[in-house]
Amino acid sequence: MGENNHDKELVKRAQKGDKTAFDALVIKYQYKVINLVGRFVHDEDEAQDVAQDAFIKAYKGLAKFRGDSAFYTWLYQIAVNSAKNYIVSKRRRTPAYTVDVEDAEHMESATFMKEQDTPEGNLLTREIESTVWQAIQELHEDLRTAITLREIEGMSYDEIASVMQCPVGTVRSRIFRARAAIDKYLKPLLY
Amino acid sequence: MQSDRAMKETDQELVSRILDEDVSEFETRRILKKIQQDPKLYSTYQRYNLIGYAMRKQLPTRLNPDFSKEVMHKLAPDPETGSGRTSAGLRNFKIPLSMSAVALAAALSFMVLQDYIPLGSSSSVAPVKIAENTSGDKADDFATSPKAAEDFNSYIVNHSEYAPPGVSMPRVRIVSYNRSYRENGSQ
Repeated sequence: MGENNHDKELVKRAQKGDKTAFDALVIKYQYKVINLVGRFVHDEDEAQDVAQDAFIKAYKGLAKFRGDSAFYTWLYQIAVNSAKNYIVSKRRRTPAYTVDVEDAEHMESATFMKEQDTPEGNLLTREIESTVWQAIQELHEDLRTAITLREIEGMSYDEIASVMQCPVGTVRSRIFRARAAIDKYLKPLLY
Repeated sequence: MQSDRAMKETDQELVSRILDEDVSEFETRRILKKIQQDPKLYSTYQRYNLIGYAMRKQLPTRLNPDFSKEVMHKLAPDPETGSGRTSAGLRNFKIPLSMSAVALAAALSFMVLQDYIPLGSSSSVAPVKIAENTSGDKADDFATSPKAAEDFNSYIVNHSEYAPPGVSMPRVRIVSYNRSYRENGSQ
């Protein structure tokens, strides 16, 4: 099932009232939306609030979403509008430049918010990134390659199988084992 | 024990695959149901998702691990109204409206019915001789007299022992205070 089809399935279920399906979409896109909103709303706490508001608006507007565009494109439009409306309502200065929805997808993540880093603010983020990369270094080479091709290069399982010259089932297994191994390091830091 | 572990691993592998869009419609339904029922699996889904963002260095500067939970909490149906919690403003607005309606009805009933209450008649709830303190023929004269207000408060205090807790009496009390405040400029 392709990315759009998979989102469509989750959206379809959410439209029928399955909140877990919408929750899965929130988890999947939360950081993208927060980063996107952060390009407009520079205060991190406010960006989080606006991002949450965008998801709530998306949920309430799900009935109107007909699937003509990808879910994330529709969601990002809502997020951008929420951020702009927030700025207007707060009567702050307009953002340095406007970000097109399509362009925003390709911008470096959290560019603006990272400019305002504080040691306290990004402590957990840094710790997580450091822990994850440390765990990756300790993985067996096959697992490390598989997870890197998937998460960094964005390859599909078929593409990874082709690159690594192994069955797709092996790719599935390697990626899962890599995540499970990294998770052992990550778990104590989080939930 | 071993089969439990195997099942757990199967579920976790499905969680891993759902992130990579490598699940069928049937598997999606199945894993969503499991995630809903199993908080540990839900957390695993969150962390597996987090790993990808951390590898790409796309995590927000300030990480809120409860972001999605907070969103879903705001979307949860309110037990009182049946709508989302985001409508709290409307809900709070409805309560004073209903209280005002009840208070108004109580005030009207009080003013109109007192003319028909026989003096000295016994009540099944509490024997208070309100009518003896009336200073005028009209109901409004009685209701606005300071002495009547004092007696009325006494009446309320007596009834508090018999009334259901925290339901009708406070509303009646509001009427008394409002009337008193309007006429005397103080409570």
